[in-house]
Amino acid sequence: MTLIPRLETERLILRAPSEADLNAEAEFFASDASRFVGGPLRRDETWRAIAMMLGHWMIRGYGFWGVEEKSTGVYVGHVGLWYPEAWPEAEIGWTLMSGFTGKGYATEAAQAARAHAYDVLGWDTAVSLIAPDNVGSRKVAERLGASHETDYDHPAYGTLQVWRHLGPTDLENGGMEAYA
Amino acid sequence: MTNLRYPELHSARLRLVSPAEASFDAATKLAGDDAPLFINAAEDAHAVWWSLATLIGHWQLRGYGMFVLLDRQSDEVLGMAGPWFPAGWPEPEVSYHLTENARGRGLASEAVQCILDWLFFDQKWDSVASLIEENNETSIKLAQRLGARPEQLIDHKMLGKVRIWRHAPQPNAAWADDKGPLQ
Repeated sequence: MTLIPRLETERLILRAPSEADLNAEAEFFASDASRFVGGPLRRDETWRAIAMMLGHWMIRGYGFWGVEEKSTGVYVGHVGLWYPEAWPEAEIGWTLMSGFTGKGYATEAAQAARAHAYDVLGWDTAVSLIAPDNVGSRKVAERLGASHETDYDHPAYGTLQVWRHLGPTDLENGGMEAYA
Repeated sequence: MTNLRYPELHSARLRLVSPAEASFDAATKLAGDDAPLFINAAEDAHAVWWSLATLIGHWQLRGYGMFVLLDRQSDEVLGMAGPWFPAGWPEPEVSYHLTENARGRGLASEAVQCILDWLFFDQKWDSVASLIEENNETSIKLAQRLGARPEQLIDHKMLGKVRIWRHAPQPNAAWADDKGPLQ
């Protein structure tokens, strides 16, 4: 059984996805903001998406965390390591609920996910797949130091930009700030 | 997340395991290149992987779900059966899917009986439904053979027109000890 580790950053807690996240995720996936990440989805489809996130952990040993604001306990989105079938390689992904963008949360949580990938799982590289007109997500990738490497034609989602993250050796502290 | 253990059931010819059980290599046995196609059989290999991940997550969210049916002798994957209750479903439903070469041998009936025993006598459920289309004679016969009773016909937004067949513990059934969970 894969135990889903709990990570903490300065302002956020990353923990296992939960059915308690369904209301927030269903509201997000009903909105236009979800168009870059496979939406819109109905509520029942969103439930299956949460189930699928948990199954991904079991199959791969890693996956998306549900992310909470440490000070309030409020659910702000899912961020993590994602490699389902039809993905060109393992990625760092981030999806914030509406109302929680613009605070640097995606960057902060993605840094913790990246540190977990490199320091715990031993990855030597990682990408992020980003829809070409998802400006907000592209800015997160830039803030993380990633660079647009190539494009990938996904069978369901169409053309996606492949952003290559800094590798473990590129990062001065190897991402150890997640454990400080 | 708690360190759950998932049940394993045995019937005369079958071993029923949860795909969420870590010792079961679900991705290879059910979504690998040589895996039998019975999950979303009409769709592509990617859809099968995603469906499998969803099946596993259902166990984690509900504490129950679809079991993988394995031949007790050869360990061959013969299908899936179990209680299924994703969001939007009218109520928990025992459903089953067999691979092509597992059909016509009474294996669905054997698997569903074993699962009903587990639900009623181990999990203490009072009843459970099967949701069956009116023209699905094979499934209706199976439900009747297992003692299920027909209830109302519903028109559900996800399932379409289906009749609720109600399984309940059979008062005179001789529940064999070796049908129950091993733990």
